[in-house]
Amino acid sequence: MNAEKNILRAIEEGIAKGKFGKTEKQKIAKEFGVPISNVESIYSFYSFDNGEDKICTGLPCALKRESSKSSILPDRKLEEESCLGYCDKAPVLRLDGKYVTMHGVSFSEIEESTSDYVKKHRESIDKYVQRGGYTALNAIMVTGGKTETLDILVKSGLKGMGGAGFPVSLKWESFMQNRTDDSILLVNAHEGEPGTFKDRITLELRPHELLEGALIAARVNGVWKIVIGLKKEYSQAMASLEIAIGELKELYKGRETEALLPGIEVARLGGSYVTGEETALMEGIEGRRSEPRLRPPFPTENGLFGKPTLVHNVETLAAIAEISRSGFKSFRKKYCVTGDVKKPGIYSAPLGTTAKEMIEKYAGNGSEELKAIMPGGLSGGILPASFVDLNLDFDSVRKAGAGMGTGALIVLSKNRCTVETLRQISEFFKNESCGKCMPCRYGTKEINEVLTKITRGKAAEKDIEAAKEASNAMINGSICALGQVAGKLFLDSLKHFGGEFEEHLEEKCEAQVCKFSGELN
Amino acid sequence: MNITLDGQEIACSEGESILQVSRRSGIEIPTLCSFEGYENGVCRLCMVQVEGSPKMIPSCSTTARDKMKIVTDSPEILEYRKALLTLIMKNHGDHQDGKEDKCSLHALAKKYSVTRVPEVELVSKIDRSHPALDFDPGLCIKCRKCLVACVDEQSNDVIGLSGKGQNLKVIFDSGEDLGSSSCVSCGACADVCPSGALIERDWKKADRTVESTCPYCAVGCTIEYGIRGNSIVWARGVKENSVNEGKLCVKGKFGFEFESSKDRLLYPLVRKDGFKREPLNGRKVEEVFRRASWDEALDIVSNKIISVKAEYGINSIAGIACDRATNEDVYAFQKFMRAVIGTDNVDQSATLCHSPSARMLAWGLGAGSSTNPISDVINSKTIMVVGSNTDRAHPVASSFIKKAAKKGAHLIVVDPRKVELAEKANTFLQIKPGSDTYLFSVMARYIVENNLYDPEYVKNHTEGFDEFIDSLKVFDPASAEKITGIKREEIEGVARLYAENKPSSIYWTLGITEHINGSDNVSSLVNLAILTGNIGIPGGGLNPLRGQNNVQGAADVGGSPGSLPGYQSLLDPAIRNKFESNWKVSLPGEIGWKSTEMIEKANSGKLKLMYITGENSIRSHPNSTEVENAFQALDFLIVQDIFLTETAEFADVILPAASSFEKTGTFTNTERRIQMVRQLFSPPGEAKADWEIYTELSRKIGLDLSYTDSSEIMDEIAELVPAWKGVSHSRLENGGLSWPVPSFDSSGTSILHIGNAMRGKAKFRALGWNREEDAKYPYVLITGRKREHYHTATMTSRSGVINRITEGPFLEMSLGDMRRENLVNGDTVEVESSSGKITCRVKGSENLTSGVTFTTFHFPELPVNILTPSTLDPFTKTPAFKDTRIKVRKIMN
Repeated sequence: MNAEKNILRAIEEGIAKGKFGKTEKQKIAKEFGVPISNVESIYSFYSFDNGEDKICTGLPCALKRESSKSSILPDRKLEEESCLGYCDKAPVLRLDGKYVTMHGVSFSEIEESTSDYVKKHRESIDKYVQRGGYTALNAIMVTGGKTETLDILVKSGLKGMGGAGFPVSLKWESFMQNRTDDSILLVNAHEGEPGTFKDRITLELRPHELLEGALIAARVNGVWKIVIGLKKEYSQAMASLEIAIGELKELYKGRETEALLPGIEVARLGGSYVTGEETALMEGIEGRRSEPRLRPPFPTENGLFGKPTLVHNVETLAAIAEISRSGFKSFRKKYCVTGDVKKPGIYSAPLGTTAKEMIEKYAGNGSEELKAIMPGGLSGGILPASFVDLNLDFDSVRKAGAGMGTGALIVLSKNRCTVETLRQISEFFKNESCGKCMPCRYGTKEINEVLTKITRGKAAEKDIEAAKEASNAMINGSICALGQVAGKLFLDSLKHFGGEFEEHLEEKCEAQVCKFSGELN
Repeated sequence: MNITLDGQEIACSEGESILQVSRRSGIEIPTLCSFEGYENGVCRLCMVQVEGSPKMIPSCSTTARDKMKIVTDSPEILEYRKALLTLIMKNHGDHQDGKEDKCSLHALAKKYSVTRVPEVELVSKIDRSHPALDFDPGLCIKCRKCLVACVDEQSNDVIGLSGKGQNLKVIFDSGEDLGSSSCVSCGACADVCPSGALIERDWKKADRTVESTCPYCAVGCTIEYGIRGNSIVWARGVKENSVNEGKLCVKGKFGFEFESSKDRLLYPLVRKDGFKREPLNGRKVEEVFRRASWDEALDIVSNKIISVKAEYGINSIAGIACDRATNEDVYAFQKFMRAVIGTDNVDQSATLCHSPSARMLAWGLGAGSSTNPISDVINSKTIMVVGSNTDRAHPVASSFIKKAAKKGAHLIVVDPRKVELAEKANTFLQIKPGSDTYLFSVMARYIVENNLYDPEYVKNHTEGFDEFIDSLKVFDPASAEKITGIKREEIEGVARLYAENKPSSIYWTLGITEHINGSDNVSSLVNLAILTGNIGIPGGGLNPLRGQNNVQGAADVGGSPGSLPGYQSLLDPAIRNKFESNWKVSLPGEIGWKSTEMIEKANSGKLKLMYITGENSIRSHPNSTEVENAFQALDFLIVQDIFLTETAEFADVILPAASSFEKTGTFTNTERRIQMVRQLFSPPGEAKADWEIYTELSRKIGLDLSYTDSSEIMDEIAELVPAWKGVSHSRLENGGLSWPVPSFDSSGTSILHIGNAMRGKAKFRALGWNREEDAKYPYVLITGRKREHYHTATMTSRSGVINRITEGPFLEMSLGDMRRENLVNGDTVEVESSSGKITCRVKGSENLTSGVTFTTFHFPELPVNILTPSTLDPFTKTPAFKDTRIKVRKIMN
């Protein structure tokens, strides 16, 4: 795929060369036989990372900046980025190409973000093999192993960890109905949900877990081509993957099973939050605007380059490797815990660990009393503290009216204002909506406007009604999950924190965060 | 397969979307973005529910499945739509000057009782840079329909999107304003825009609408005209049952204003005594002509016809039929000339353009017309476009070709100029002017020598193959590059593609025909098609794109000498018998003159009276000076037109005609499709439909044509012409019929020559080669068209929008020739040919090779036909407009 020329890649190459204006766009238009408006429309969709200094505006970073009010931003132009992928090191900036954590007025480079760190801690294939790595793959390559693997998966009830929580075995069944010899396995490594950085860590430090899982999934489903759609900003992950793929080839070189290894390609793609939506990722890899596609057809019928495509998230594939090797019992879910906790970080725990346990046993209580939890990043919805005993597994969380999403637990303490926090989240959804469908484009804007009005003391009951109606339109009509979850989040918060909204209409903010003044724009 | 829609069981077919099924069943599901044939799916208004499930699904992108039970109007859905419309309306600004009447969003909002909350004022800068269209970004809801229309449908490729999310915008090219973008003013964006963001500046709400056929080129687009009072206020392409499938070009979209021009001829005019036939030269019309009653004017005309015929015989009278008039008009005219006056001297402007195509297609295949419908190009794997600036002269046909190329067909463009379509071509052959026969014969030779031809087709369906092979010896591949300017390997590559990557189609216009050997050029293409079996099949064929709206029809109904309606020979006794007994006259016994010959005969004193209808001969015939001399040499000249053209200025009597907006009848388009022309208004002043004028005149001369309605004329054509036997006005109501229509239950013939050719076996024509250079005149001058204008611009120059779009005329030269002649853009030059001299401004063009120049023939300020000599094709007497030899001299200022 990397070798395949497309307009987006040509634009990237052009930008890398320096000056990129109308002449350069015209040249690309001519080369690809498309109108210049087409080149412009792709160019203007993406933000091309040129190593600009950036500030992370993701919720975990925003929360930390807010609580350490002494933080002073450096006196330079900072581009806003909705998640830099180091949520556990919040608040994070990127300065001169380095990821740093703010401590009041000083900054320290995040060690884990350096190439030295990643090189040092990356698990080599030897170590991986020593702990039983690739044995499951080998077994499958010899025996075929399809029914066994499916059996294990069905029994385990493994669900996709990318956000939707769709049972893996059902997806495989649907895929197998459409499979052709040129079908593709697409690895969604375009992590972007604020509070989520688990895939980056797997890619950087445990790349073979992903590769083995992907190879098992490919072999079992008769797929000969694996494409890893990798978030472009994850450059250490790219380096790790390249080494790992080399090691893998070396390991199988000359073996009888060498010919049974599917090809693996990495397609690096910039872009934003919505690019992580599987069909948007496909559009991006094909070189177009990374906007979600209409469904049907589903990727299993018509996916990347129009081929039946099986799409899995990084964590799901790593889990497949783990479960195939050692069974479901040994499987640990990777929970990212951020927000008002002592030790934000990534914690592997049995699926279904309670939120309370995650906070108390793993991440450590914050100093404040708990107010709310977000069990699945920004997209999973918000629940009041009374839900703290909730088991963090797909079914339990769904029953509670929220979503497991990526399994990113964001913790909010009593001194947070729910309305202001939601306003910040609404800003995120408004900025990250690709704008393709009208409910999402206009709905995210509406919710953000209403929440801003409330916190500025300019709202009335009818505004909340309007935002509710907008939310319903988004839930029912948005093409992809972004608009749907953004709408649902607003309705959930009214349901659970309605009182706080009422108080705000009377210009009361218990957390004393909202000042009820200021202009709307 | 059945689905249930709101409780109603409806049969549906494989692949139909729920929205499609509901639309054709009269169940209205609202949408703002849906575009038939494309998956757009961004407005999300068309959500429906599957019975029993709360989940909503988009009806536009969901395929109907058997036994699906769909609810389109549950309370939840109605509430959803209202909420979404409220959101959209909040982000949709206020319209200017009552234009919300064109806004589908407003109409929907009203239906769902949604009003815009004017809480946030949406002020945006309106882009008014385009001559005819406005773009108001504050109204735009980013539904992307304009993008589909501009890029996917029209292939005009101007509109795009920029940014994303809240910053999503519609852009033109790389962000230019519309006026300085590459917009070709087809108006497709405005036609589909549901928000009124892209809108005709002069748009007004119509009181009524009428569908008719475009009065311009022979693509024959169906247009819906919005009429307010006595004016057309907008025009829009019709999608259903139309040739154009909703598309239009700038002329169809904006070129209707001539209808209400103050220059229209309103009354008969008679030349005052003592004024000789010459141009008005700035004098007022009233100075030279006086207004006459119809009765008086027709008395003068009929008396003159009677006396000239008595004194000089039937060969002293000739008439030129109007190719912009209806089939009924032209039929009545030729009958008037042949039956009432008794002469076969009746011709049409095809002699000036596509006669070689008609003549040689008829010679080789048996029908003088294109073989396949325009939309069939989508089935071609190889498309060869020759001598045609399709993008300019037939923009809507060009859209179909470009779409086929985008879908993967190999597009080959052959032209001496790098025309716009060449930009989209896979292969462009920049041929030396006049070498077409050589090029295509070398291709044929390569195909024969490499056994790439279709032996089955050649053996069973053709004749004259051996002589043909013999004749190919003349065409030496080794000399091909020198003669045609194209490398041998390229010629061979194209030959291979055409022969092997089948089906292959050929499209051409006047770059083929307007040469001294135009008929040979056409035959060289016919030879290629029958050699490779690319005839009588979908995606194949030989398709001359005809110029004027009814040039095909005018020939079909007898508008050329020797050819009675339906191409039935004047000299065939059985045919004569049939017509004579129907018309109750005896027909002339000899074949009459072509229009170019008429000019010669007038100059030599043989022709005394001409009746010219709707042809601006002084500007459109070669050698304008000779044409003026001819008119002065006549005893009497009658001109019938809608405007006082340069030709009308020479007339003794001018008769005011109705335009196609003011009468009912039919046009036959380039694909033989006979389509209805519907009356929008009464004619202005005392103007009359042509057929009415001929009928009244015939009464005065003594043989009454006695028509009272144009449909009677069509019925008479159907009676006499076997290929039109099944045609009547009532049968043409839904999109027309392509002839042959041999019976009343026939649905017409879209592809000709399936199996055998109409004449039986397709016939090869052996060709020769001879081309002379003229050292005295080193440049070749080619004339052609602009997109906005049409012929001598009698109609287009009277449409304000079009005049605002167009820049004036230049002589275009290659950049190298400009340097060599020491010229810069805007210099004035004297251009001289063997026929005459003119002065004009000059402009450099990257699209020309050295030695080739170009200009248009639209503008009176550049009367290029003073230069074109009366060099005629020997078979059809067609002038060599594409091959005038000139020299150029800079005039010192």
